[in-house]
Amino acid sequence: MNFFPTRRRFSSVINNAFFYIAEAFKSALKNSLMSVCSIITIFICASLLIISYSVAVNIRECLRQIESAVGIAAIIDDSVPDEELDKIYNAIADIDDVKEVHFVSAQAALASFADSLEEGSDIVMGLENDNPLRRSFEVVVYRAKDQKAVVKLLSSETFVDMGVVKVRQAQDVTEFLEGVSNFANIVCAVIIFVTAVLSVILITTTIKITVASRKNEITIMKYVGATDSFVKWPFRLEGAFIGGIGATVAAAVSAITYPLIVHAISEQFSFITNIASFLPTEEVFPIIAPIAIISGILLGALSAVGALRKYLEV
Amino acid sequence: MIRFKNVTKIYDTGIKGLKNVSFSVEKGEFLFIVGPSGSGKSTLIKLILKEEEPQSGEILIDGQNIANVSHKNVPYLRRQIGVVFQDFRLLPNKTVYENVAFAMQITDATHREIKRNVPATLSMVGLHKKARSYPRQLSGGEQQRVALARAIVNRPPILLADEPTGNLDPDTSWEIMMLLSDVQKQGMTVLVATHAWDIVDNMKKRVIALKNGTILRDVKGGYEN
Repeated sequence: MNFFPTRRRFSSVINNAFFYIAEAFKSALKNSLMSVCSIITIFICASLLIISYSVAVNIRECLRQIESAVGIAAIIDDSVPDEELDKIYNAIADIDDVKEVHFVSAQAALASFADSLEEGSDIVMGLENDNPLRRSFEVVVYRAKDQKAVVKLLSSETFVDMGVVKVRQAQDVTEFLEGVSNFANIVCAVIIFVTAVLSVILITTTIKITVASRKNEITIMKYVGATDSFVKWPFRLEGAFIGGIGATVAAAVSAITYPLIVHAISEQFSFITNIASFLPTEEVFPIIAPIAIISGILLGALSAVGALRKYLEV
Repeated sequence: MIRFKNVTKIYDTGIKGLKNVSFSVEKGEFLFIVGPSGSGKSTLIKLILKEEEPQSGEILIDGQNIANVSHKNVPYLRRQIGVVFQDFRLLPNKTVYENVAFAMQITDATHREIKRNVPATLSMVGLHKKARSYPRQLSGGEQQRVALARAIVNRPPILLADEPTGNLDPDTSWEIMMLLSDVQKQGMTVLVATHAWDIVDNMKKRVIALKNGTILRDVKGGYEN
Protein backbone atom coordinates (compact mmCIF):
# COMPACT_ATOMS: atom_id res chain seq x y z
CA MET A 1 0.00 0.00 0.00
CA ASN A 2 1.23 3.46 -0.91
CA PHE A 3 0.72 6.39 1.45
CA PHE A 4 2.53 8.88 -0.77
CA PRO A 5 1.53 10.86 -3.81
CA THR A 6 2.23 9.24 -7.16
CA ARG A 7 3.40 11.03 -10.26
CA ARG A 8 0.39 12.71 -11.83
CA ARG A 9 -0.52 12.34 -15.44
CA PHE A 10 -0.76 15.58 -17.40
CA SER A 11 -4.25 14.60 -18.50
CA SER A 12 -5.38 14.30 -14.89
CA VAL A 13 -4.00 17.76 -14.13
CA ILE A 14 -6.13 19.11 -17.00
CA ASN A 15 -9.13 17.06 -15.87
CA ASN A 16 -8.78 18.42 -12.37
CA ALA A 17 -8.53 21.99 -13.67
CA PHE A 18 -11.84 21.60 -15.51
CA PHE A 19 -13.30 19.93 -12.44
CA TYR A 20 -12.24 22.82 -10.18
CA ILE A 21 -13.74 25.39 -12.56
CA ALA A 22 -16.98 23.43 -12.90
CA GLU A 23 -17.20 22.94 -9.13
CA ALA A 24 -16.57 26.64 -8.54
CA PHE A 25 -19.40 27.66 -10.86
CA LYS A 26 -21.80 25.01 -9.56
CA SER A 27 -21.03 25.93 -5.99
CA ALA A 28 -21.52 29.65 -6.60
CA LEU A 29 -24.88 28.93 -8.22
CA LYS A 30 -26.03 26.46 -5.59
CA ASN A 31 -25.11 28.83 -2.77
CA SER A 32 -26.56 31.73 -4.70
CA LEU A 33 -27.70 33.74 -1.68
CA MET A 34 -24.22 33.82 -0.14
CA SER A 35 -22.69 34.42 -3.55
CA VAL A 36 -24.93 37.44 -4.09
CA CYS A 37 -24.05 38.78 -0.62
CA SER A 38 -20.37 38.42 -1.41
CA ILE A 39 -20.77 40.06 -4.82
CA ILE A 40 -22.65 43.00 -3.28
CA THR A 41 -19.96 43.39 -0.62
CA ILE A 42 -17.20 43.44 -3.19
CA PHE A 43 -19.26 45.75 -5.42
CA ILE A 44 -19.57 48.26 -2.56
CA CYS A 45 -15.90 48.05 -1.65
CA ALA A 46 -14.72 48.33 -5.26
CA SER A 47 -17.07 51.26 -5.85
CA LEU A 48 -15.71 53.05 -2.79
CA LEU A 49 -12.18 52.48 -4.01
CA ILE A 50 -13.01 53.82 -7.48
CA ILE A 51 -14.87 56.82 -6.05
CA SER A 52 -11.99 57.65 -3.67
CA TYR A 53 -9.51 57.43 -6.50
CA SER A 54 -11.66 59.53 -8.84
CA VAL A 55 -12.10 62.22 -6.21
CA ALA A 56 -8.36 62.19 -5.43
CA VAL A 57 -7.20 62.53 -9.02
CA ASN A 58 -9.80 65.19 -9.84
CA ILE A 59 -8.90 67.31 -6.82
CA ARG A 60 -5.25 67.00 -7.77
CA GLU A 61 -6.02 67.95 -11.37
CA CYS A 62 -8.18 70.95 -10.41
CA LEU A 63 -5.53 72.24 -8.05
CA ARG A 64 -2.87 71.72 -10.67
CA GLN A 65 -4.89 73.77 -13.15
CA ILE A 66 -5.46 76.53 -10.60
CA GLU A 67 -1.81 76.54 -9.63
CA SER A 68 -0.61 76.87 -13.16
CA ALA A 69 -3.02 79.76 -13.78
CA VAL A 70 -1.38 81.76 -11.01
CA GLY A 71 1.37 83.37 -13.00
CA ILE A 72 4.55 85.38 -12.70
CA ALA A 73 4.90 88.76 -14.36
CA ALA A 74 8.32 89.87 -15.61
CA ILE A 75 8.12 93.66 -16.07
CA ILE A 76 10.23 95.06 -18.95
CA ASP A 77 11.98 98.41 -18.78
CA ASP A 78 10.62 101.07 -21.16
CA SER A 79 14.10 101.56 -22.65
CA VAL A 80 14.20 98.09 -24.14
CA PRO A 81 13.47 98.33 -27.87
CA ASP A 82 10.66 96.19 -29.31
CA GLU A 83 13.21 94.25 -31.40
CA GLU A 84 14.82 92.93 -28.22
CA LEU A 85 11.55 91.52 -26.87
CA ASP A 86 11.90 88.29 -28.88
CA LYS A 87 15.28 87.63 -27.27
CA ILE A 88 13.77 88.03 -23.78
CA TYR A 89 10.77 85.84 -24.77
CA ASN A 90 13.02 83.02 -25.97
CA ALA A 91 15.24 83.21 -22.90
CA ILE A 92 12.21 82.88 -20.61
CA ALA A 93 10.64 80.09 -22.70
CA ASP A 94 13.91 78.12 -22.54
CA ILE A 95 13.64 77.82 -18.74
CA ASP A 96 12.71 74.16 -18.01
CA ASP A 97 9.98 74.86 -15.45
CA VAL A 98 8.23 77.38 -17.64
CA LYS A 99 5.10 76.10 -19.34
CA GLU A 100 3.90 79.22 -21.18
CA VAL A 101 5.04 82.78 -21.85
CA HIS A 102 2.70 85.58 -23.01
CA PHE A 103 3.63 89.09 -23.93
CA VAL A 104 1.39 91.81 -22.48
CA SER A 105 1.71 95.24 -24.00
CA ALA A 106 1.37 98.38 -21.89
CA GLN A 107 -2.00 99.13 -23.51
CA ALA A 108 -3.29 95.63 -22.86
CA ALA A 109 -2.15 95.87 -19.26
CA LEU A 110 -4.03 99.12 -18.82
CA ALA A 111 -7.21 97.72 -20.40
CA SER A 112 -7.01 94.62 -18.21
CA PHE A 113 -6.61 96.76 -15.11
CA ALA A 114 -9.57 98.91 -16.15
CA ASP A 115 -11.72 95.76 -16.60
CA SER A 116 -10.86 94.61 -13.10
CA LEU A 117 -12.19 97.80 -11.55
CA GLU A 118 -15.91 98.05 -10.83
CA GLU A 119 -15.80 101.84 -10.65
CA GLY A 120 -13.31 104.35 -12.00
CA SER A 121 -12.54 102.35 -15.15
CA ASP A 122 -13.22 105.46 -17.25
CA ILE A 123 -10.63 107.38 -15.31
CA VAL A 124 -8.06 104.65 -15.83
CA MET A 125 -8.72 104.53 -19.56
CA GLY A 126 -8.20 108.26 -19.61
CA LEU A 127 -4.56 107.55 -18.80
CA GLU A 128 -3.95 106.02 -22.25
CA ASN A 129 -1.71 108.91 -23.29
CA ASP A 130 0.22 108.77 -20.06
CA ASN A 131 0.21 105.01 -19.38
CA PRO A 132 2.03 104.26 -16.13
CA LEU A 133 2.01 100.52 -16.80
CA ARG A 134 4.86 98.81 -18.61
CA ARG A 135 5.25 95.94 -20.98
CA SER A 136 5.56 92.57 -19.34
CA PHE A 137 5.83 88.87 -19.95
CA GLU A 138 3.31 86.70 -18.11
CA VAL A 139 5.01 83.44 -17.23
CA VAL A 140 3.08 80.25 -16.33
CA VAL A 141 4.96 77.39 -14.68
CA TYR A 142 4.10 73.69 -14.67
CA ARG A 143 3.89 73.47 -10.89
CA ALA A 144 3.30 76.11 -8.26
CA LYS A 145 6.29 74.95 -6.29
CA ASP A 146 8.56 75.81 -9.19
CA GLN A 147 7.56 79.47 -9.05
CA LYS A 148 10.16 80.50 -6.50
CA ALA A 149 13.00 79.08 -8.55
CA VAL A 150 11.74 80.73 -11.75
CA VAL A 151 11.29 84.08 -9.99
CA LYS A 152 14.86 83.84 -8.70
CA LEU A 153 16.13 83.09 -12.17
CA LEU A 154 14.17 85.98 -13.75
CA SER A 155 15.57 88.30 -11.09
CA SER A 156 19.14 87.24 -11.85
CA GLU A 157 21.73 89.40 -13.53
CA THR A 158 21.23 87.69 -16.89
CA PHE A 159 17.66 88.86 -17.20
CA VAL A 160 18.26 92.21 -15.55
CA ASP A 161 20.84 92.91 -18.25
CA MET A 162 18.22 92.01 -20.86
CA GLY A 163 15.79 94.53 -19.42
CA VAL A 164 13.70 92.80 -16.76
CA VAL A 165 13.29 95.47 -14.07
CA LYS A 166 10.88 93.69 -11.74
CA VAL A 167 9.39 90.23 -11.20
CA ARG A 168 5.98 89.93 -9.59
CA GLN A 169 4.27 86.78 -8.32
CA ALA A 170 1.21 85.88 -6.25
CA GLN A 171 3.35 84.38 -3.50
CA ASP A 172 0.65 83.96 -0.86
CA VAL A 173 -1.83 82.34 -3.25
CA THR A 174 0.86 79.99 -4.54
CA GLU A 175 1.83 78.86 -1.07
CA PHE A 176 -1.81 78.45 -0.08
CA LEU A 177 -2.58 76.28 -3.09
CA GLU A 178 0.51 74.20 -2.48
CA GLY A 179 -0.63 73.60 1.07
CA VAL A 180 -4.16 72.71 -0.05
CA SER A 181 -2.80 70.32 -2.68
CA ASN A 182 -0.59 68.52 -0.16
CA PHE A 183 -3.44 68.28 2.33
CA ALA A 184 -5.83 66.94 -0.31
CA ASN A 185 -3.28 64.33 -1.40
CA ILE A 186 -2.85 63.12 2.17
CA VAL A 187 -6.59 63.01 2.86
CA CYS A 188 -7.29 61.05 -0.32
CA ALA A 189 -4.44 58.62 0.36
CA VAL A 190 -5.87 58.00 3.84
CA ILE A 191 -9.39 57.50 2.42
CA ILE A 192 -8.10 55.04 -0.16
CA PHE A 193 -6.09 53.13 2.46
CA VAL A 194 -8.99 52.96 4.93
CA THR A 195 -11.35 51.87 2.12
CA ALA A 196 -8.92 49.13 1.13
CA VAL A 197 -8.59 47.87 4.72
CA LEU A 198 -12.37 47.94 5.24
CA SER A 199 -12.81 46.12 1.94
CA VAL A 200 -10.47 43.34 3.03
CA ILE A 201 -12.27 42.97 6.36
CA LEU A 202 -15.75 42.98 4.81
CA ILE A 203 -14.89 40.59 2.01
CA THR A 204 -13.05 38.20 4.34
CA THR A 205 -15.95 38.17 6.80
CA THR A 206 -18.53 37.53 4.08
CA ILE A 207 -16.51 34.72 2.58
CA LYS A 208 -15.84 33.23 6.04
CA ILE A 209 -19.58 32.99 6.57
CA THR A 210 -19.91 31.31 3.17
CA VAL A 211 -17.18 28.78 3.95
CA ALA A 212 -18.45 28.13 7.49
CA SER A 213 -21.84 27.20 6.09
CA ARG A 214 -20.09 24.52 4.05
CA LYS A 215 -17.71 23.13 6.65
CA ASN A 216 -19.49 19.76 6.68
CA GLU A 217 -18.86 19.47 2.98
CA ILE A 218 -15.17 20.23 3.49
CA THR A 219 -14.89 17.67 6.29
CA ILE A 220 -16.50 14.98 4.14
CA MET A 221 -14.10 15.74 1.30
CA LYS A 222 -11.16 15.33 3.67
CA TYR A 223 -12.47 11.99 4.99
CA VAL A 224 -12.79 10.65 1.47
CA GLY A 225 -9.10 11.45 0.85
CA ALA A 226 -9.11 14.85 -0.86
CA THR A 227 -5.87 16.77 -0.47
CA ASP A 228 -5.92 20.31 0.90
CA SER A 229 -5.14 21.58 -2.59
CA PHE A 230 -8.08 19.66 -4.07
CA VAL A 231 -10.41 21.19 -1.50
CA LYS A 232 -8.99 24.71 -1.83
CA TRP A 233 -8.96 25.17 -5.59
CA PRO A 234 -12.72 25.24 -6.20
CA PHE A 235 -13.17 27.66 -3.29
CA ARG A 236 -10.28 29.76 -4.52
CA LEU A 237 -11.76 29.96 -8.00
CA GLU A 238 -15.22 30.60 -6.63
CA GLY A 239 -13.85 33.48 -4.55
CA ALA A 240 -12.03 34.82 -7.60
CA PHE A 241 -15.19 34.61 -9.77
CA ILE A 242 -17.28 36.38 -7.18
CA GLY A 243 -14.61 39.02 -6.61
CA GLY A 244 -14.18 39.54 -10.34
CA ILE A 245 -17.92 39.87 -10.94
CA GLY A 246 -18.45 42.32 -8.10
CA ALA A 247 -15.48 44.48 -9.09
CA THR A 248 -16.33 44.41 -12.80
CA VAL A 249 -19.89 45.52 -12.14
CA ALA A 250 -18.57 48.25 -9.86
CA ALA A 251 -16.16 49.45 -12.56
CA ALA A 252 -18.88 49.41 -15.23
CA VAL A 253 -21.43 51.25 -13.09
CA SER A 254 -18.82 53.81 -12.04
CA ALA A 255 -17.69 54.37 -15.63
CA ILE A 256 -21.28 54.97 -16.72
CA THR A 257 -22.22 57.26 -13.83
CA TYR A 258 -18.94 59.21 -13.69
CA PRO A 259 -19.67 61.53 -16.63
CA LEU A 260 -23.22 62.07 -15.37
CA ILE A 261 -21.93 63.05 -11.93
CA VAL A 262 -19.27 65.33 -13.42
CA HIS A 263 -21.91 66.99 -15.56
CA ALA A 264 -24.23 67.46 -12.57
CA ILE A 265 -21.43 68.99 -10.46
CA SER A 266 -20.43 71.27 -13.32
CA GLU A 267 -24.02 72.47 -13.61
CA GLN A 268 -24.53 72.99 -9.89
CA PHE A 269 -21.13 74.45 -9.10
CA SER A 270 -20.19 76.33 -12.23
CA PHE A 271 -17.60 78.44 -10.35
CA ILE A 272 -15.43 75.32 -10.20
CA THR A 273 -15.51 74.76 -13.96
CA ASN A 274 -14.76 78.44 -14.51
CA ILE A 275 -11.30 77.91 -13.07
CA ALA A 276 -10.63 74.20 -13.63
CA SER A 277 -12.09 71.18 -15.42
CA PHE A 278 -12.61 67.57 -14.35
CA LEU A 279 -10.70 64.71 -15.89
CA PRO A 280 -12.58 62.86 -18.63
CA THR A 281 -13.66 59.23 -18.15
CA GLU A 282 -10.94 57.91 -20.45
CA GLU A 283 -8.23 59.44 -18.26
CA VAL A 284 -9.55 58.03 -14.98
CA PHE A 285 -10.93 54.56 -15.67
CA PRO A 286 -8.23 52.90 -17.77
CA ILE A 287 -6.08 53.08 -14.62
CA ILE A 288 -8.48 52.39 -11.76
CA ALA A 289 -10.82 49.89 -13.43
CA PRO A 290 -8.18 47.15 -14.00
CA ILE A 291 -6.77 47.80 -10.52
CA ALA A 292 -10.22 47.41 -8.97
CA ILE A 293 -11.02 44.25 -10.96
CA ILE A 294 -7.68 42.58 -10.24
CA SER A 295 -7.97 43.57 -6.56
CA GLY A 296 -11.48 42.09 -6.44
CA ILE A 297 -10.30 38.81 -7.98
CA LEU A 298 -7.28 38.51 -5.69
CA LEU A 299 -9.19 39.51 -2.58
CA GLY A 300 -11.95 37.01 -3.35
CA ALA A 301 -9.48 34.16 -3.95
CA LEU A 302 -7.23 34.92 -0.96
CA SER A 303 -10.15 35.49 1.42
CA ALA A 304 -11.65 32.13 0.45
CA VAL A 305 -8.46 30.23 1.18
CA GLY A 306 -7.86 32.17 4.37
CA ALA A 307 -11.34 31.30 5.58
CA LEU A 308 -10.85 27.63 4.68
CA ARG A 309 -7.69 27.08 6.66
CA LYS A 310 -9.23 26.05 9.96
CA TYR A 311 -11.60 23.57 8.33
CA LEU A 312 -8.78 21.70 6.60
CA GLU A 313 -7.34 20.32 9.87
CA VAL A 314 -9.33 17.08 9.76
CA MET B 1 -3.18 -5.85 7.34
CA ILE B 2 -3.99 -3.77 10.43
CA ARG B 3 -2.10 -4.09 13.67
CA PHE B 4 -2.53 -2.21 16.93
CA LYS B 5 0.41 -2.57 19.33
CA ASN B 6 -0.15 -1.30 22.88
CA VAL B 7 -2.12 1.69 21.67
CA THR B 8 -3.34 4.22 24.22
CA LYS B 9 -5.40 7.26 23.36
CA ILE B 10 -6.19 9.91 25.98
CA TYR B 11 -8.31 12.89 24.97
CA ASP B 12 -7.64 16.45 26.12
CA THR B 13 -10.47 16.10 28.63
CA GLY B 14 -8.52 13.31 30.34
CA ILE B 15 -10.87 10.59 29.13
CA LYS B 16 -9.07 7.46 28.01
CA GLY B 17 -10.43 6.42 24.62
CA LEU B 18 -8.24 3.31 24.39
CA LYS B 19 -5.94 1.78 26.99
CA ASN B 20 -3.01 -0.32 25.88
CA VAL B 21 -4.99 -2.07 23.12
CA SER B 22 -3.32 -4.68 20.94
CA PHE B 23 -4.84 -6.76 18.16
CA SER B 24 -4.30 -7.52 14.52
CA VAL B 25 -6.57 -8.01 11.53
CA GLU B 26 -5.54 -10.20 8.62
CA LYS B 27 -6.02 -9.27 5.01
CA GLY B 28 -9.54 -10.03 3.81
CA GLU B 29 -10.85 -10.60 7.32
CA PHE B 30 -14.23 -9.34 8.60
CA LEU B 31 -14.11 -7.96 12.14
CA PHE B 32 -16.86 -6.59 14.36
CA ILE B 33 -15.87 -4.16 17.08
CA VAL B 34 -18.62 -4.06 19.65
CA GLY B 35 -19.19 -2.33 22.94
CA PRO B 36 -21.41 0.18 24.67
CA SER B 37 -21.21 3.90 24.01
CA GLY B 38 -17.88 5.30 25.17
CA SER B 39 -16.12 1.93 24.98
CA GLY B 40 -13.63 3.15 22.37
CA LYS B 41 -15.11 1.89 19.09
CA SER B 42 -15.16 5.25 17.35
CA THR B 43 -11.75 6.13 18.81
CA LEU B 44 -10.31 3.03 17.18
CA ILE B 45 -11.80 4.04 13.81
CA LYS B 46 -10.48 7.61 14.17
CA LEU B 47 -7.00 6.36 14.99
CA ILE B 48 -6.89 4.23 11.84
CA LEU B 49 -8.04 7.25 9.80
CA LYS B 50 -5.42 9.39 11.55
CA GLU B 51 -8.12 11.79 12.62
CA GLU B 52 -6.64 11.33 16.11
CA GLU B 53 -3.12 10.47 17.25
CA PRO B 54 -2.37 7.92 19.99
CA GLN B 55 -0.40 8.92 23.05
CA SER B 56 1.54 5.67 22.91
CA GLY B 57 1.79 2.49 20.90
CA GLU B 58 1.93 1.81 17.19
CA ILE B 59 -0.65 1.39 14.51
CA LEU B 60 0.60 -0.50 11.50
CA ILE B 61 -1.24 -0.76 8.22
CA ASP B 62 0.27 -3.16 5.71
CA GLY B 63 3.38 -3.21 7.88
CA GLN B 64 3.81 0.59 7.81
CA ASN B 65 3.60 2.66 10.97
CA ILE B 66 1.03 5.34 10.17
CA ALA B 67 2.63 7.67 12.73
CA ASN B 68 5.23 8.28 10.02
CA VAL B 69 2.57 9.55 7.59
CA SER B 70 2.84 13.36 7.55
CA HIS B 71 -0.22 15.62 7.56
CA LYS B 72 0.06 16.37 3.87
CA ASN B 73 0.13 12.65 3.04
CA VAL B 74 -2.87 11.72 5.21
CA PRO B 75 -5.19 11.97 2.17
CA TYR B 76 -3.15 9.23 0.45
CA LEU B 77 -3.59 7.02 3.53
CA ARG B 78 -7.33 7.67 3.55
CA ARG B 79 -7.62 6.74 -0.12
CA GLN B 80 -6.59 3.24 0.90
CA ILE B 81 -9.40 3.13 3.44
CA GLY B 82 -13.07 3.34 2.52
CA VAL B 83 -15.24 4.72 5.33
CA VAL B 84 -18.93 4.49 6.04
CA PHE B 85 -20.38 6.62 8.85
CA GLN B 86 -23.53 6.40 10.88
CA ASP B 87 -24.78 9.73 9.52
CA PHE B 88 -23.91 8.81 5.91
CA ARG B 89 -21.97 12.08 5.30
CA LEU B 90 -22.93 12.52 1.69
CA LEU B 91 -22.27 15.76 -0.16
CA PRO B 92 -25.75 17.30 -0.19
CA ASN B 93 -25.38 19.33 -3.38
CA LYS B 94 -24.19 16.40 -5.48
CA THR B 95 -26.26 13.63 -7.01
CA VAL B 96 -25.78 9.99 -6.11
CA TYR B 97 -23.57 9.54 -9.18
CA GLU B 98 -21.53 12.66 -8.35
CA ASN B 99 -21.07 11.62 -4.73
CA VAL B 100 -19.57 8.30 -5.77
CA ALA B 101 -17.64 9.80 -8.70
CA PHE B 102 -16.09 12.35 -6.33
CA ALA B 103 -14.17 9.59 -4.58
CA MET B 104 -12.62 8.67 -7.93
CA GLN B 105 -12.10 12.27 -9.01
CA ILE B 106 -9.78 12.96 -6.08
CA THR B 107 -7.56 10.04 -7.10
CA ASP B 108 -6.99 11.56 -10.57
CA ALA B 109 -9.07 8.85 -12.22
CA THR B 110 -9.78 9.50 -15.89
CA HIS B 111 -13.21 10.36 -17.13
CA ARG B 112 -13.40 6.96 -18.80
CA GLU B 113 -12.52 5.12 -15.58
CA ILE B 114 -15.16 7.07 -13.69
CA LYS B 115 -17.82 6.37 -16.31
CA ARG B 116 -17.00 2.68 -16.13
CA ASN B 117 -16.65 2.14 -12.38
CA VAL B 118 -19.31 4.36 -10.87
CA PRO B 119 -22.33 2.75 -12.57
CA ALA B 120 -20.91 -0.70 -11.83
CA THR B 121 -20.54 0.15 -8.15
CA LEU B 122 -24.01 1.65 -7.98
CA SER B 123 -25.38 -1.54 -9.50
CA MET B 124 -23.55 -3.55 -6.88
CA VAL B 125 -25.37 -1.68 -4.09
CA GLY B 126 -28.66 -1.70 -6.01
CA LEU B 127 -28.88 2.01 -6.72
CA HIS B 128 -28.17 2.28 -10.44
CA LYS B 129 -31.67 3.70 -10.98
CA LYS B 130 -31.11 6.47 -8.45
CA ALA B 131 -27.96 7.88 -10.01
CA ARG B 132 -29.48 11.28 -10.66
CA SER B 133 -31.20 11.64 -7.31
CA TYR B 134 -29.93 13.88 -4.55
CA PRO B 135 -29.33 12.56 -1.03
CA ARG B 136 -32.33 14.41 0.32
CA GLN B 137 -34.53 12.41 -2.06
CA LEU B 138 -33.35 9.06 -0.68
CA SER B 139 -34.31 6.96 2.32
CA GLY B 140 -31.81 6.33 5.11
CA GLY B 141 -30.99 2.88 3.75
CA GLU B 142 -30.45 4.23 0.27
CA GLN B 143 -28.21 6.99 1.54
CA GLN B 144 -26.10 4.43 3.38
CA ARG B 145 -25.82 2.38 0.21
CA VAL B 146 -24.54 5.48 -1.59
CA ALA B 147 -22.03 6.00 1.21
CA LEU B 148 -20.95 2.40 0.86
CA ALA B 149 -20.62 2.75 -2.92
CA ARG B 150 -18.45 5.83 -2.43
CA ALA B 151 -16.33 3.94 0.08
CA ILE B 152 -15.63 0.98 -2.23
CA VAL B 153 -15.57 2.54 -5.72
CA ASN B 154 -11.77 2.83 -5.63
CA ARG B 155 -11.46 -0.80 -4.43
CA PRO B 156 -9.55 0.14 -1.28
CA PRO B 157 -7.90 -2.72 0.62
CA ILE B 158 -9.64 -1.69 3.87
CA LEU B 159 -13.23 -0.71 4.62
CA LEU B 160 -14.20 0.85 7.95
CA ALA B 161 -17.80 1.24 9.01
CA ASP B 162 -18.59 3.27 12.13
CA GLU B 163 -22.08 2.35 13.33
CA PRO B 164 -23.33 1.96 9.75
CA THR B 165 -26.77 0.83 10.85
CA GLY B 166 -27.19 3.28 13.73
CA ASN B 167 -29.88 5.30 11.95
CA LEU B 168 -31.58 2.42 10.15
CA ASP B 169 -34.46 0.03 10.85
CA PRO B 170 -33.67 -3.66 11.45
CA ASP B 171 -34.48 -4.88 7.92
CA THR B 172 -32.43 -2.16 6.26
CA SER B 173 -29.63 -2.73 8.77
CA TRP B 174 -29.47 -6.37 7.77
CA GLU B 175 -29.31 -5.44 4.07
CA ILE B 176 -26.40 -3.10 4.73
CA MET B 177 -24.53 -5.72 6.69
CA MET B 178 -25.05 -8.23 3.86
CA LEU B 179 -23.57 -5.73 1.47
CA LEU B 180 -20.58 -5.33 3.76
CA SER B 181 -20.21 -9.08 3.83
CA ASP B 182 -20.31 -9.16 0.01
CA VAL B 183 -17.58 -6.54 -0.05
CA GLN B 184 -15.44 -8.65 2.24
CA LYS B 185 -15.90 -11.66 -0.05
CA GLN B 186 -14.32 -9.59 -2.82
CA GLY B 187 -11.12 -9.41 -0.82
CA MET B 188 -11.41 -6.25 1.26
CA THR B 189 -10.58 -6.20 4.93
CA VAL B 190 -13.71 -4.99 6.71
CA LEU B 191 -13.96 -3.52 10.23
CA VAL B 192 -17.42 -2.69 11.52
CA ALA B 193 -17.92 -0.82 14.78
CA THR B 194 -21.43 -1.46 16.01
CA HIS B 195 -23.66 -2.22 18.95
CA ALA B 196 -26.23 -4.10 16.85
CA TRP B 197 -25.75 -7.30 18.85
CA ASP B 198 -28.34 -9.35 17.01
CA ILE B 199 -26.68 -8.78 13.64
CA VAL B 200 -23.27 -9.51 15.11
CA ASP B 201 -24.47 -12.81 16.51
CA ASN B 202 -26.22 -13.84 13.31
CA MET B 203 -23.25 -13.14 11.08
CA LYS B 204 -20.86 -15.34 13.08
CA LYS B 205 -17.78 -13.28 12.30
CA ARG B 206 -14.81 -12.43 14.49
CA VAL B 207 -15.75 -10.04 17.29
CA ILE B 208 -13.61 -7.80 19.50
CA ALA B 209 -15.60 -6.51 22.45
CA LEU B 210 -14.42 -3.25 24.04
CA LYS B 211 -15.30 -1.84 27.42
CA ASN B 212 -13.88 1.36 28.90
CA GLY B 213 -11.16 1.44 26.24
CA THR B 214 -9.83 -2.07 26.78
CA ILE B 215 -10.42 -5.34 24.96
CA LEU B 216 -12.80 -7.52 26.90
CA ARG B 217 -13.00 -10.41 24.47
CA ASP B 218 -11.67 -11.37 21.06
CA VAL B 219 -13.66 -14.29 19.67
CA LYS B 220 -14.51 -15.79 16.34
CA GLY B 221 -17.90 -17.03 15.18
CA GLY B 222 -20.07 -14.37 16.79
CA TYR B 223 -20.18 -12.67 20.21
CA GLU B 224 -22.21 -15.32 21.99
CA ASN B 225 -19.82 -18.05 20.85
